[in-house]
Amino acid sequence: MSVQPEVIEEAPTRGQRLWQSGPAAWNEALTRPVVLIPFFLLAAAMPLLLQYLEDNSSWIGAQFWTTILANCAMYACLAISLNLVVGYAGLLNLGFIAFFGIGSYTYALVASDQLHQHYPFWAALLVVVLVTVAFALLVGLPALRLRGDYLAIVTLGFGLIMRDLILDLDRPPTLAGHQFGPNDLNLTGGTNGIHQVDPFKLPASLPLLGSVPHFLMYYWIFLGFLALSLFCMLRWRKTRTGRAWVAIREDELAARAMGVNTFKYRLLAFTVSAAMAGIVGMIDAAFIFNAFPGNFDVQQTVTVFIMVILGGLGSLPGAILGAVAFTVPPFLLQQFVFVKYLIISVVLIAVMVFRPEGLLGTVSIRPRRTMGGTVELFAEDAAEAAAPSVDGKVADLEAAAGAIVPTADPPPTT
Amino acid sequence: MEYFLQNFPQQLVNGLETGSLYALIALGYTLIYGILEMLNFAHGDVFMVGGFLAAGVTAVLVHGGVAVIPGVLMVLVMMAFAMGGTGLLGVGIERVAYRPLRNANRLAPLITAIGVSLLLESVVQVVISPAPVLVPTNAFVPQTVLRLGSVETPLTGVLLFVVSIGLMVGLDLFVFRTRFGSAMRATAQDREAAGFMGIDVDRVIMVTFFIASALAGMGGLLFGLRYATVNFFMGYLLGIKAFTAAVIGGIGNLRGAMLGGLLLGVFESLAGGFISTEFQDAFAFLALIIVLIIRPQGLFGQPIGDRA
Amino acid sequence: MGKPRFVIFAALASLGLAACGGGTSGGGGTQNAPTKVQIAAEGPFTGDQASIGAGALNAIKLAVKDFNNAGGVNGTKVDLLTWDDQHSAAVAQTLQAQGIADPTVLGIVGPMNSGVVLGSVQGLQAASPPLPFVSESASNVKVTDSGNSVAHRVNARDDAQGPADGKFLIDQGAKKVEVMDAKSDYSTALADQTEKYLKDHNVPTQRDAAKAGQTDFSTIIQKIKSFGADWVYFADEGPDTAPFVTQLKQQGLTIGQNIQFLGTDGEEDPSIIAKSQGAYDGAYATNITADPAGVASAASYVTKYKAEYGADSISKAGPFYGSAYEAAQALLQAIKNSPVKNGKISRNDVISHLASDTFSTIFGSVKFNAKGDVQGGGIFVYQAKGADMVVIKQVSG
Repeated sequence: MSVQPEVIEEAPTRGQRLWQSGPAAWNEALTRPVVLIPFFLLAAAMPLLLQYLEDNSSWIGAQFWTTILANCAMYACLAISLNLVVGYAGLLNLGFIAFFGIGSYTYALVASDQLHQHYPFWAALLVVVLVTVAFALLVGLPALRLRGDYLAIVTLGFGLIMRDLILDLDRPPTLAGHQFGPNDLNLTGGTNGIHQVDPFKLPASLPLLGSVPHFLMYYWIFLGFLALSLFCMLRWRKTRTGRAWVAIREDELAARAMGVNTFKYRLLAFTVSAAMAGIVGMIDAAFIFNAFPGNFDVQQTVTVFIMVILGGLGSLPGAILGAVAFTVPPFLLQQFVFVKYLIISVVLIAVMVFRPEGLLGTVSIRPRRTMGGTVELFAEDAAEAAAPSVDGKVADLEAAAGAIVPTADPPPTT
Repeated sequence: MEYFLQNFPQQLVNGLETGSLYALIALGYTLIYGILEMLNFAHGDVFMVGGFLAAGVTAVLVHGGVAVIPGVLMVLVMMAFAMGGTGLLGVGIERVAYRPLRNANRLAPLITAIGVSLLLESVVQVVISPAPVLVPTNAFVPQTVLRLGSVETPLTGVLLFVVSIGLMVGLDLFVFRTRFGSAMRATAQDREAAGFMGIDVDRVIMVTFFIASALAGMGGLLFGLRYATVNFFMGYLLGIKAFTAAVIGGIGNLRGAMLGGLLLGVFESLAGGFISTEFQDAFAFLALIIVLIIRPQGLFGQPIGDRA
Repeated sequence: MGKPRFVIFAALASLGLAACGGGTSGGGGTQNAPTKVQIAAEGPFTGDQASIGAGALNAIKLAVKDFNNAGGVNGTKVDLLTWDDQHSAAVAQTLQAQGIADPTVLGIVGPMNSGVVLGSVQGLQAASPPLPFVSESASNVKVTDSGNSVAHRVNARDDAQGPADGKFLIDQGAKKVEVMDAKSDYSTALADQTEKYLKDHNVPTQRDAAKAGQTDFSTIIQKIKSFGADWVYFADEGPDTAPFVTQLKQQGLTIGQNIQFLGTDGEEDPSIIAKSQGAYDGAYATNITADPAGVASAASYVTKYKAEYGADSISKAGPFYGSAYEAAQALLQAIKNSPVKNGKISRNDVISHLASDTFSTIFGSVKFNAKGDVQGGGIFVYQAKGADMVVIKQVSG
């Protein structure tokens, strides 16, 4: 930059400076308490504002828009927990949504007439967390020894198996002519799912506000869980664990060389993310009174992935932005029923082509190396196993060092 | 046991037929993965478009009263359209949706690939039909059923198997025996170094996409001939299965993809036939998980560049 | 074409409204035009079930257009909202929130899938006033058995169709039946009902499932051969039938010769005969709704549908384009019969008119019973003969 002394430039304002300083600084600014606290207060007050508008004009839509907001908040929770596993720890978990489904079904089983159980909230929460963690370990222990796209396909397979089981376990399984279990065994409700799931026992009215409708209550619950997750994530990234995750994501080999137990931290990220998704599933089941096989659709995983990446991988405000940006349009475009996904897919491609790091993205995880895929995969994957050449590793490290941080920005934080 | 022996040969043949289709599509995944290290999520939908192109061409020719032309010629015309059309489609997708992202993080092209997949499905659903569409094969393909002992299969099934194997052998020869093939392998091994050696990397990638997509298009055509209908949703599950096959065989490895496809088809057919059709898919993915846990690089996992 | 007249009519109606002072009129004031009337079409218009949803949506659009051309509700045109629930009750609940809060949304045609109905009916019933729906295809018994005043459907129930199908199979002399479903909320429950009926009557069965999106049936067909079934019963909404029967023939089982076939809703679609290149000839199918193409009173509707959406549109319309039009007719007439007070129609009145009135539809007159099921809603048995599906029998429900 050549400075022209004779032109007297006005000193840029704080806002201009922030605008010019790029996404990393935006994220930093957006996750300050001065921004977050008013944001959540405003978000919480939004439905009341909508209600006021509806009461004082001919416009109708407070309930509709509050329900959409609840959806946004739910997807934002999911996006943040997926961001933990993909954005922080760099694990491509394509079976992510299965944990959401497992959470919702576990809650439905212990809080409905399906098995004639009606656990109180805290007991149900404990069971949900235990079950999702158990499943996460079941998949994670073997699968996390794999890397990259292999992990992706194993977790994808896991998600598909879970969906099949949910669909088929409304009757005793019959394998090779042998029936397992009694005739009237119906665990999952099959294609219909489980209905009439208990909502949480909540006060019907709140001080000052009077009676609070169901959808508004659950919007606040989702929002509360979102705030809690966000708080944990922000705290976490400053701890040893958070730094270990970033180190693994940026360069696993280097992290390992520095003495980080990569397997342990990857498993931790995988499990915590699964448990978070499970809890969101539980809230969702109570919110919509149902658990559905559709909760396991791969399409749903894809949706949350799109939110995370659209918003910007590794960015917490981005995850929220992505959730809103991808939840609202299908509802706005209802009247264009057949072409709405046409429009959405074109916009999606365009956004990614022109801004591949996502709207608020700072991270470019595992930037492309110059090496072909499999070579690179084996060089790291089978580090213990047979013999990738030493210079393969060196090349990797060099490539990583050269390509990760092209600008002088500090390593991405949020 | 008696039941098993009676049914085994037929289920094996069924499995080989489906498996050869998986293999044909798996080749595309593995080729693109090998060169670009990306999961081309839209590949299953390219296969679907191939099926629709074949259906469209046949419908036009049959309705246009050209049904008098011999079946073989008809199939050749279909091939030209299905393979050429999907090949160009693949090149177009690469140019518009992937090339700008070649140096971005590796998840960005995955998302655009999902976008392309969504786009292709929406377009076919809106423009053509949400319901299955007929491929009028009766008009030009003999509907002979071949019998060998207790095993029966239609001529088109055998055609599916034979043509698939033929194409795979052809591709193998192309990649391992020609000059351009070695350029492809060099690019897969080290794109930058290949560029230094004077290889036009962009052109290699373009041709790779053309070949991979044309194979998928051919898969769509053979599918149309064998099953006589195509629908806009058919690329989804078949695509996932084919990718699974590619991973089982060791992704990036051409022969692995072929064998992985055949193995997956046979395994699935046997699991469905002798254990449970309801849990058929679950078994297929369970097999994948077990294979990967035992052999993380896949059954025949070796990078394509390593063997030349 | 007819537009100017409506404008005049509407103007007259609003004059009448002004003359009334808006307050005095009681029920049934015919010159009293409501200010706004909306209904919603809900179903899986995109996604994995689009093959049944897309045609139904076209039919509902046409029904609203026809209704408006005939004068609407005392001159007020009905606006149609499109709610694409994509076969998900979670999406359905969000979309329905739009109608629950808006008192000018008077009813829903749909939802189409039983799972979606069962997952969202609570919210519709709890709304104040409750938001009624008339489904064109949800067949699970629980849809109308749960005591919800909002629930109506024009199609027959699983527990009517299942035993009727079972009885038909036994009457035809079935010895061993292969029972198949498509792992969808409609087909699995129905196949269960039919299988139970057959087992209760000592007919051996073998059960298999064709998954959504499955294209290769060779494994199942080999099991059918090995089982020695003389009948195949396939509960499905139609999209998988043509490829299935084509492969049946290719593997040596020819319908009408060494195997018989009974299908269900959507499988009475004559385009399956063409799409299977004749392999379907001789097959039977039952339907919980009549196929407009086979009913004389619906002939003009079929002509209109073709004129609106193209000559080949019937083959893409799916199994419920008739019942969707019928359901929309019933709902719209109930709305028209409801009293207008101060330019408004109450959903409570629409519900009571749905319960009490008899509606004239393309399939004749229709009346809902106390549960919300169609009285005398029949099961229709079709057979593929030549290029057509011919009604051979109607079993009244």
